[in-house]
Amino acid sequence: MQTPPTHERLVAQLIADVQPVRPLWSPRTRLALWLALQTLTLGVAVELGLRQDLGDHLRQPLFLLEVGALVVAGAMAAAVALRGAVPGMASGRLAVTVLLLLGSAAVALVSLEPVVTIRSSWGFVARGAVCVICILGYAAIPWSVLFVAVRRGAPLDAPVVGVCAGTAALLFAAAAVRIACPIDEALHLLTWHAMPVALGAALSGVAGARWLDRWREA
Amino acid sequence: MADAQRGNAEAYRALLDDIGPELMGFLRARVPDSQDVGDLYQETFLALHRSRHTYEAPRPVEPWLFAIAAHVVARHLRRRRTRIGREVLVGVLPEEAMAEGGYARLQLAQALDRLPPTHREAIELVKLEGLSTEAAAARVGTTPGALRVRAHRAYSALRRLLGS
Repeated sequence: MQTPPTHERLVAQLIADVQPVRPLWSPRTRLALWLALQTLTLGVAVELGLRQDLGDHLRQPLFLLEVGALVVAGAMAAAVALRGAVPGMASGRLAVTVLLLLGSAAVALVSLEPVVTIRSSWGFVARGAVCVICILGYAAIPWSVLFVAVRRGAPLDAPVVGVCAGTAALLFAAAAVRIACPIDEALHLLTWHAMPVALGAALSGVAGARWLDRWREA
Repeated sequence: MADAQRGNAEAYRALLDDIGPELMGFLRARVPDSQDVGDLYQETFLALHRSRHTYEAPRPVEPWLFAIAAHVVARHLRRRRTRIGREVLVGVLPEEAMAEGGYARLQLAQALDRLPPTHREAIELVKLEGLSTEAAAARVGTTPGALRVRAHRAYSALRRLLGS
C-alpha cells in the first residue's frame, strides 16, 4: 500500500518536533496510587465519623456488603477511567457491565435498610444536606487527582471517561460517608447518598466532554 | 516507539515509515473518498505525535496506533454525517461517482455505516483488508472465535442491506 505524496514532508515535520517525552505510568500503577489516596479518605471517615456504633456495624453483613460494593465499584470505575485514557487499552463491555451491576447491587443493598417515617421534612433535608456536603468534600480531591491523571493521557471517549472518573471518586466518598453517617434509613441513604453520586457522575461526564477531549485540536 | 519517546529521531522516522502503508490500508478500507484519506492520514500522524507519551512499552504498537486511527476516522465520519445532513448535494458529477466502481463502493460504504461498530470493524479487517482471523482478532483485542462470529453476523447483515 502506497503512502500519500505528503508522507515525506509530514514525517520531516514531526521529526523536527520530536522531543523526549515522559511516558505515562501504567494504568495499574496510577490506580494503585489513587487507591492509596482513597485509603486515606476512608481512614479519615473512620476517625472523624459521627457513628458511635461502628464496631457493631462492622459485624453486620449488610453494612459490610454495602460499603464493599461501593468500594469495589469505585475501584473498578477508576480502573475503567484510567484505562480509557490510553488508546487501545479501553476496557471492554464486560468491565462496564460488572461496574453497573456492582453500582446497582449497592443501591439494592441500601434499599434493604429499614424505612422510617419522616417526622420532620426540615430535619430530613438538614441531615441530608450535611451528607451531601460531606460526599462532595470527600470526593473533591480524589476527583481532581483522577481527572488530572486521565487528562495526562489521551481519552478517546472523553464523556465516558469523565463519568467514570466522577463515579469512582463519588463512590469512594459515598462509602466514606456511609461509614461516618449514623443514619441507617433507606430513604435517607437513597436520597442523600446515592443521588449525589448519580448527579455528580453526570456532571463529571459533562466536564469530561469539555476538558478531556484533547483530540479536538489534533 | 520507546526509542521515539526518548527523542530518538531515527527510530521515530523508521517507525513512521513502517506504519505509513499499514495506516493507509486501514484508512482506505474505511473512507471511500481518496481526498479525505490523505487528510485523515495527516490527522492521524499528528494525533499519534501528540499522544506518543501514552504508548506503554513493551506492548505492541498496533492496537495503540489503530485505536487512535479508528478514533480519527470515527470523528471524521461523524462530521461528514452532520455535514451531509445539512447539505443538498447538487454538485456531485455522476460520471465521476460512477467511475471505477464508485457507485458500488458508495453503496458498500453506506451499508457498512449502518452496521454496529464492532461488526463493521470485523468485516473491514477480514473482508476488505484481507487480514487473517488471528491477526484481525489481535488488532481489535478479542479472540479469533469471537471475531469470526462478528464477521459472520456482519456479512449476513451486509447481504440483507445490499439486497442479495
